[in-house]
Amino acid sequence: MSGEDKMDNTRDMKENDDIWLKQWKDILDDYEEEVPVNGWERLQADLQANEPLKEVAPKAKVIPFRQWKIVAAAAVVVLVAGAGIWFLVSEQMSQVSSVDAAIAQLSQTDVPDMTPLETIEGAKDEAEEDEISTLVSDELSPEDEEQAQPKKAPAVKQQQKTSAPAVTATPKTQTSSTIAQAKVSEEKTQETQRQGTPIQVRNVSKSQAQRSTTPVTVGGKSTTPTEEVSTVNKRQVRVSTDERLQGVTLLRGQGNATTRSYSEVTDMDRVYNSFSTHYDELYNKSERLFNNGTGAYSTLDNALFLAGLVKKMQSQRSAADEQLFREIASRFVELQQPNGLWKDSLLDPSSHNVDADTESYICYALAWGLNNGLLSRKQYLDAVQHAWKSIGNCNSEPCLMAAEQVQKLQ
Amino acid sequence: MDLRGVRRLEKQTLTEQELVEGCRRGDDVARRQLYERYAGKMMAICMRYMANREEAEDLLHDGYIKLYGSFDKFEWQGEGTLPAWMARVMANLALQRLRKTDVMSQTVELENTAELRDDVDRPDEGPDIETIPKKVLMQFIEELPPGYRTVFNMYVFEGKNHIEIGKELGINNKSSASQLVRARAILKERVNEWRRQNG
Repeated sequence: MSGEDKMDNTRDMKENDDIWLKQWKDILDDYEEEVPVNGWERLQADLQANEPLKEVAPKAKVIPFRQWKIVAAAAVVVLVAGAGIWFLVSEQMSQVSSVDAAIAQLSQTDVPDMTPLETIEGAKDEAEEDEISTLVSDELSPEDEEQAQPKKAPAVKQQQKTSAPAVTATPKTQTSSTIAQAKVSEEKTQETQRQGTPIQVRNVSKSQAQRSTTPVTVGGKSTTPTEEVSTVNKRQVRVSTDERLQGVTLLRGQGNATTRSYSEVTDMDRVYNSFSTHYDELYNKSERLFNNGTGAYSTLDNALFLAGLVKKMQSQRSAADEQLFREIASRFVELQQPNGLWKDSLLDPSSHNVDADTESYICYALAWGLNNGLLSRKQYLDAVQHAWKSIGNCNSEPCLMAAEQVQKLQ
Repeated sequence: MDLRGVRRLEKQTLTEQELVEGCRRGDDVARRQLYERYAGKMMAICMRYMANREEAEDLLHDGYIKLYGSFDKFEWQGEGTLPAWMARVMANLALQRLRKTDVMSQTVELENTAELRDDVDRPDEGPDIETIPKKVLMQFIEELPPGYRTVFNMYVFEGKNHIEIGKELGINNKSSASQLVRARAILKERVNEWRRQNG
C-alpha cells in the first residue's frame, strides 16, 4: 500500500474517524486536572496588587465603592466645564436668534413688496432655493451641522413662510428692480458658496431679507446692513467653534492629569527613590540588580526602578545614571527566558512568569534606552521586540507607555 | 436558626448567575467560588494545550486574571454558558501563547521528519477508548508534537474547521487537515499500544 493510498483511505474513513474523535471530546470534556497548590491565594494576591491599576485602565469598568469620590470629582469637573461651554454657546445662540428675529421682522414687514421676484422669476427662485438647500445639506460638516441646526430650521421655515403667501397675494410691480434684485440674490448665493458653512444658513435668510428690502431702498445700498449681519455671524460662529474645542481640550487635559496622578508613575517614583537612597545596601554589583531588602531579586521592583530611572534621566542625565541603566538593562536581557518573558523573581527559574505590566515596564525602559542611544540596537532590539510580542491586550498605563516607545523603534 | 444561618454563610454555593454578577462587581467570595468550581476543568484545558504542568499553571493563573477582568464583556445566557465562555477564554489565551512561541514553525520541522503512521490494520474505525483511564488519554494528547496537539485541540474540543484553524494559526488549511490526520494516527497507535500492554 503506497502512502497515497493510505491518505485516500484515511479521507474515505473521515466520517468514522470524526466519530472516534468526537468520542475523545465526550470522554474528556468534563475531565478535571489537579489544580495548582495555593492557586486561589496567588490569584487573590495578584488581584489585590493589580486592583488600583485596573481602575486606571481605560477598559476597566469595575468601580469599587471607594472610587466614588474620584468619580464624583470628575463628574463635577465635567459639569462645571460643560456648563461653561453651554453658557458660552447659548449666549451666542441668543445673539444669533435676536438677529434672526430682526431679519424675520424685516421680511415680514416687507412681504407685500417682494412678490414680483417670486412670480416672474419663480422658476429661477425655486432653482435657487434648491441650490441653497443642497448647499446647506451637503456642505455642512457634522460639527457645523450640530451648531447650525437650531438656526437652520427657523431660517428655512421662514423662507417658505414668506415666499408662499407672496406668490398668491401680491400684484406684479417694479419688474426691473426685481430682476436686478434677483441678480443680487444670485450673487449672494455665490458668495454664500464661498463663505464658511455656518454662514450659509444665515445667508439663506439674508438673501431673503435683502430681496424683500431692496424694492424699498432701491439698488444695492441695502446690502450693507445684511453684509454686516453676515460678518458678525461669521465671527460669532468662529469664536464659538474655537471655544468649544478649547473646552474639550481643557477637559481632556484635566482627565489625563487625574489619571496620571493615580497611575504607576508613583510606583516608579517610589521604587526609584527608595532604591537610589539605599543604593549601597540594595544594589548587588555582581548581579547588576537590586534586591528589595529581603534578598529576593524582584523583577517588578527592578523593572520599576529602571522605568523610574528613565523618568529621572528624561529631566536630568548623568554618566552614572547611564552606566547604571546599561548595567541593569544588560542583566535583564541576559535573564530573558527563551519565550521572551521574565520570571517573577529574576534569579529564580522556578518562579512564575511576570505579568504583562512588569513586562511593559521592562519594554518601556529598554525601548527608551534604544530610542535615546543608550543601548545598541544590535544587542537589544530583538529582546525588546520578543518581549513586546508576548504582551497581549494593551490597556494599562505601563503598557501604553511601552507602546509609545516601542512604536518609535521602527 | 442561628446555626443554619452561619452554615449558609460558610458554605453558600452561588448559582452560575450569582457568580457572574459577583465577579462583575469584583466580589471576592464570587471570585473564589469561580476559581474553586472550575479550576480543575480549566486546568485540563491548559494542560491539553501547553502539555507542561508549569506552563499550564501559569496559563491558568493568567487566564483567571483575564476572566475576572472580562466580566463586563460576558453576557450570561443560561446554565452552562459561564463555563463554556471560560473555556473559550482559556483556549484563546493558550493559543495566543502558543503563537508567540511559534508552535507552528516547530511543527513544520516535525512534519518533515514525522512518518505517517496510520494504523494499517483497521483504518475504518478507531480503537475503543472508553475503557482507557482519562488521565492516560490526556497524557496521549499532551505527548503529541505541539503543532499536531494544537490542531487536534482546536478541531476536536473547540469544534473549529480547518479553514478557521488555518487562519488562526497562520497555516494553510491543508496543513491543518494533514496535521489532524497525523495526530489521529499517532493517537490510534498509542491507544492500540496501551491496549496491548494492558490487555
